[in-house]
Amino acid sequence: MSELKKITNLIPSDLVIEDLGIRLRGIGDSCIASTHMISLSKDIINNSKFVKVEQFKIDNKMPIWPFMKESKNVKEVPSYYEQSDDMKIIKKQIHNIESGLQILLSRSQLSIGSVEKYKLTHSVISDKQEILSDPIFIQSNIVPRNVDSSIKVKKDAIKVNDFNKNLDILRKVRKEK
Amino acid sequence: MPIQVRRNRSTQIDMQSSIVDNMTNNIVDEMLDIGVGLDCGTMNFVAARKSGQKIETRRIRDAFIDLNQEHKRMLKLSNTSFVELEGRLLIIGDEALDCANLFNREPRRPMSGGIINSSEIDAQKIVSLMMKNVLGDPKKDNEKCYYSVPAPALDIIGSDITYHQAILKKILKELGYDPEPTNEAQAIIFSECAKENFSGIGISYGSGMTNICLSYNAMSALEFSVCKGGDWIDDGAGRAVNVTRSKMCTLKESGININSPNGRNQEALSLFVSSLIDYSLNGIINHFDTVKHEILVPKPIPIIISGGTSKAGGFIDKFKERFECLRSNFPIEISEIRSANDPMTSVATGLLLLSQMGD
Repeated sequence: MSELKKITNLIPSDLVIEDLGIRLRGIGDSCIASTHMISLSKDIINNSKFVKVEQFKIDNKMPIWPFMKESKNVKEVPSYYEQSDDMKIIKKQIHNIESGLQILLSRSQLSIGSVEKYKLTHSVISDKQEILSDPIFIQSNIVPRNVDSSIKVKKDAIKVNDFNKNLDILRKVRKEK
Repeated sequence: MPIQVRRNRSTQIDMQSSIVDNMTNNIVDEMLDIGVGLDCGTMNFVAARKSGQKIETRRIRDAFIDLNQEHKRMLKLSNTSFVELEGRLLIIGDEALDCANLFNREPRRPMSGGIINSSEIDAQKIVSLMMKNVLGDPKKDNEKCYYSVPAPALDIIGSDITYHQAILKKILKELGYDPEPTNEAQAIIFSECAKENFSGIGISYGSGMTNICLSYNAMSALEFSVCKGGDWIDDGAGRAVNVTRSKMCTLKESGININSPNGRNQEALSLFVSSLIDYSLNGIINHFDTVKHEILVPKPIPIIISGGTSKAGGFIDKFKERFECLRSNFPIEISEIRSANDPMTSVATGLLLLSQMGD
């Protein structure tokens, strides 16, 4: 029986791995796939910047479909904006301005139109990584099949002067390390 | 009666053994030549292979243009090679640039800023077709292929090459190769700095960006890039004098001398080339300054200038002139500044050297 592995998305945007037929939604989302299926898409899976692959242990002997989603897997994207000190200061300042306006309006009894409340969201300028709405898509077959692609290329040939000598020097330098 | 000449047995054996020797030598030669270097640049894809006593290079321009089916007859008559993909006619390579100039259009670019163009829907397919054509079929299953990748850019927030590197790797695997990524500026050191034990600063003035690598004893100590290159020159100079980017590129590659420009267009190009040199040198100085306590280079090392943009006449003289103005700020002692033997193939040749190393 093939081993099972848990694949977890490490990037903020969605990730589609076409070879496995899966879509992982945002950071922390995960799925379970068999080792055999993972071997088909080894390059992408092994790229630790996109996903984390770890052994999946089964406690009971219930049959598991290779692409079955885990039930409690999707974590929320960390709410950086809600917790930052800057945001607390901005919220406090907004509160002060709103209170000041209320006092002014109550004193003058004048209507200067409605003051709308806006909830500050992700539009705050930040150098943090932007969360993309489109997923990163890694397709399975990139090289088009059955296409006659005889494209003209410029060919040239240069004589090997010191190539073999340079190769020996490189081998020597690498050996010395 | 006809005269019969019969070779004696020892002559036959000698001839057979010499044939076997020749065949064996050929097979051994071919085995020694296994491995290929591939420079995946924004303007050109260049593959380098060793073939006996020669290094063969194959280059394709990184541009394409799409035409309707009605142009098929015209293309056949003009002997222009094209690819039919999903009902469209695609002209790929140098001919795309010629065609674009003819129709006063900008060619489409599958690569931009050193990586696969994210805003070009056909980019991955076109890149795969170009790679297939410059590399040809592998000489054996999983033939080693060292391919170039840029370093993340200092002047782009969140610059990352992970996806680009993974896609190129996947294409090469699909083509039957065993791919291995290497920084393009370090490949220049492998190609040009054997006499310095592969120590030096490689600067690759490419089309999409400028890559820099500090290598010491064949080990990369520092890799980074700045996001300006030949495209920035063509774009800026083109806009300054109201000429298309591709026409500026053609003019730049026609052999102008930036130190003695002739006419308005050349003057604009000259100004932008000088500006790029200043920008990259200041970028190097600033970045080296931030990491100078982590790097110890015990003896002076050379700077090697390479890349298609550095082919502009007078580029190396201008670089030396600007470097002398800034030398006192440079945190590493420089022994000399020189050009790569061939700025167009230097990266591919360096990668080829790595591919011949064996495991």
